[in-house]
Amino acid sequence: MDKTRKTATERELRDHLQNLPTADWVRQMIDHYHRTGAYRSKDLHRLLGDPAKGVEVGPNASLTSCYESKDS
Amino acid sequence: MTIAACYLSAEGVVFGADSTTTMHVRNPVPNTGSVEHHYNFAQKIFQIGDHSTLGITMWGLGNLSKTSYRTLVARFSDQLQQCPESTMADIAALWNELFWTAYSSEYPDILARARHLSLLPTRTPEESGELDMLEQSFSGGFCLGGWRLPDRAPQAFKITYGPTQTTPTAPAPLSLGSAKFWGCPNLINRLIYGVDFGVLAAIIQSDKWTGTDEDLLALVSPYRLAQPFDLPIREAIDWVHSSIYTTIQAMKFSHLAPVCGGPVEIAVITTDRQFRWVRHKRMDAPLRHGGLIDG
Repeated sequence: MDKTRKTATERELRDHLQNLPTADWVRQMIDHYHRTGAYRSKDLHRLLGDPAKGVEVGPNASLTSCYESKDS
Repeated sequence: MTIAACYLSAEGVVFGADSTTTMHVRNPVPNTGSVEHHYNFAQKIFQIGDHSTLGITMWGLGNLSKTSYRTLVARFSDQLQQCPESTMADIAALWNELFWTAYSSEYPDILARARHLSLLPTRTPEESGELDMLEQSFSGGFCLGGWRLPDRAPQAFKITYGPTQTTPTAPAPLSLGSAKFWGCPNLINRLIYGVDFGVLAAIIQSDKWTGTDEDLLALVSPYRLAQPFDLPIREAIDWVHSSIYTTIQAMKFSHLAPVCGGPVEIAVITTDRQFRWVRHKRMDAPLRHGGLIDG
């Protein structure tokens, strides 16, 4: 792909991402926070991850191995 | 929310944790709910006994209902004095048993409710929300590590629990020369692997993705940051501190509540020494923080 086309594609992608409507769950999360002063458990889980699961970091750890063991 | 990390090196074990604990403070008018307060001077790393070569850190559930982790660890230390020959694996199993007994006896109604909800063939949105809340609020784990005579081989074990379990999960050993991070995994997953599992699941479940899970993993995997094997102990300390500090700062500068933060505490147990603090807040840390003491 030449540089001009790549730049045009990147610009198109950027514009598309900037114009995406807010996802329903984000709107609901913000609405719930404004009403109650707290985030719903499922929003925290989605944004922060599962508090019972760990991340293994090392030379033998990979995204695939983490994904396969994400329930451990 | 608590975040914790452990690096198991051939030179020893490094523990790290943040200091924030979230507490619900009930409104003064009965039955009007509560508000969340975040306190920044909790302790989440403990030496097990005096002059010992054992330590433990924790994440998830901030404390039990009636018994503090400090008390439970002290009782555990008393128990270990009766079995001086125990191996690291024995010790991890003993802690697992002690904690599970306390956890299941202090939260019987919550565990029963979570198990009931998890076994329902279908759940209403309210029931799903309740189960999410119970799993998010009452799950967690421990990392117990150190060394024993005569071999002084450093070892560490992960012990996890959750309210839908009926029996404790067996402790799992950590791999030598690598690190584990717990409590708020998404940010470290994004940093090291370029993506978190929530994003992967959202793409896979989208009707715009027509490939397999493996196709997506193959696409993303090359963007990971490769990691060295078995860092020197001071670099391992830096790794643990960096992972916790990075997560704290990411939360601080996000739209979310500061559910992790406060001083980063670090402890190390090298194979030639007992438990040592690398960074440990003094008992008057909140006073200093409040500006009541100079210097």
